[in-house]
Amino acid sequence: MRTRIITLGAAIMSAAAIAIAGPVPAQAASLWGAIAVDDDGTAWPTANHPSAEAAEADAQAYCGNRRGCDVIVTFNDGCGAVAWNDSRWHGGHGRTLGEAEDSALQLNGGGAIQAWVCTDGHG
Amino acid sequence: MHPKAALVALAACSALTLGACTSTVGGAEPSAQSSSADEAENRPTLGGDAAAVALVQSAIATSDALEAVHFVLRTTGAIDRLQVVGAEGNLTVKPRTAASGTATVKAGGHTPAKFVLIDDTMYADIGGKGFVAHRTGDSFYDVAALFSPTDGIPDILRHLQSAAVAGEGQIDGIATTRIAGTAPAADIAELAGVRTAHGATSPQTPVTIWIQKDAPHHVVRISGVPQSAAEVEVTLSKWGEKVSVTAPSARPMPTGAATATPPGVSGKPKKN
Repeated sequence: MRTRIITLGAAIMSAAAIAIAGPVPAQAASLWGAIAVDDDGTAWPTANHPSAEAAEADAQAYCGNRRGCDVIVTFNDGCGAVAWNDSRWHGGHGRTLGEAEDSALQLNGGGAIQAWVCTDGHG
Repeated sequence: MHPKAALVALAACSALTLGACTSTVGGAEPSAQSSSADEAENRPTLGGDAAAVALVQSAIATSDALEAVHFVLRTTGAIDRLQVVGAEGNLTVKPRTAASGTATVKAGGHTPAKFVLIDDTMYADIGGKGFVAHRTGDSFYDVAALFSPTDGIPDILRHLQSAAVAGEGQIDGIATTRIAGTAPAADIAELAGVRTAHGATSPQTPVTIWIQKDAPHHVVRISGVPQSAAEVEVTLSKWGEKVSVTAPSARPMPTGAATATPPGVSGKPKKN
C-alpha cells in the first residue's frame, strides 16, 4: 500500500509538471493482464487493462462467485501463464508467451499449461 | 418468439400433424439424461417452423453419430476475451477424442500455432518455439467442444430458437439448406473457445446454419454473432474421415531464473 501511495503521489507531481511544461509527445499506455484460478482449477485470464488493480478486478469478476477464486499472476506489457501439476498451480509472466510459459512451468516444477493470455501488441 | 413468427409456426403446425410441431429434439430418441439436464438448466429446446425443426432434428442425429470431421474456424470483429482468432484441423470425436491442426492466436499479433490433441493432453507450438503440453479444455483451444454432446454445435442445434428455412446455397460444392434462428451469444462465442464469465446471462443472438440438403444431413457451416459487429463461423467437411494423430515431442523443461511477480500487484504467486 505504501508503495502505491508513493506511486500515486509521484503520478500527481508528474501530471502537474506536464501541465506547467505543456504537452509532451504521446506515449503508449501500459497494458495489464491477470489470471485467476478457482478451487476447481478453472483458470480465468484477462488482458488489456489500464492498471494492475483493474486487471485483477476483472479476473475476479470473470471468475464470478466461484469458490476460492485467486489471482495468481498479474503482469504488464507481455504475457502471463499458469502451469498446473497435481493440484498445484503457479503463475509466470514474460515479454513473450514462451517466456511466460517457461516461467510458470519452472515455478511449478513442470506440468502442463492451464491458461495463458497476452496484452495486445505483445507476445 | 416474435408474434408474426408465432403465427407462421402455428399455421405450419395446423397443416401438419401435432407431432411434427413438437419442440423436443435429440434425434429420433432424445435421451432422458439430456431432457433432465435441459429441465435443470431451464433452457428451451429446439423450436421454430416445422420444416426447419425436422431438418435440424435430422442434423442433430447426424452430429451425434459423427466420428471425425475437418473444421475451419474463422472469426471477425472484436470479441471479448478471444484468444484464438482462427483454426483449421481434423477432429476425431469417436472412439477417443483426438485432433491436429493449426490455430492463429493473439500473442505478439496474430501468431500461428500448431496443435495436437491426444491422450487428454493438448500440445501447442505457438510461434514455432516447440510444443508445450497444455491441459485439455480451454487451456489452449477447446477443439473437442465443437462436437461435445453438452457444448458446441450439437448443443446449439438442440436449443436453437425461432428456426426457419431461410434459403438454399452451395458451400464447397455441397447443396445446403440455410436455417436461420437464434442461440445464446455465449454458445456462439464458445465455438471460438471463449468462456463466458461465471454466472453471466447471455442474450439470444442470430445464428445461421447450413445443413446438407440431402441425407445425411451434416452441418456444413454454422455462423453466429457473439456480440455486435463480430462473427464466429465454423465450416465443416470430410465427415467420417479420420486422420492419424501422434503425440509430438514436447520442448525440454526450461532452465534459468523464472520471472518474478511485478511490484504493486496483489496476486498470489501460487495456489495449492
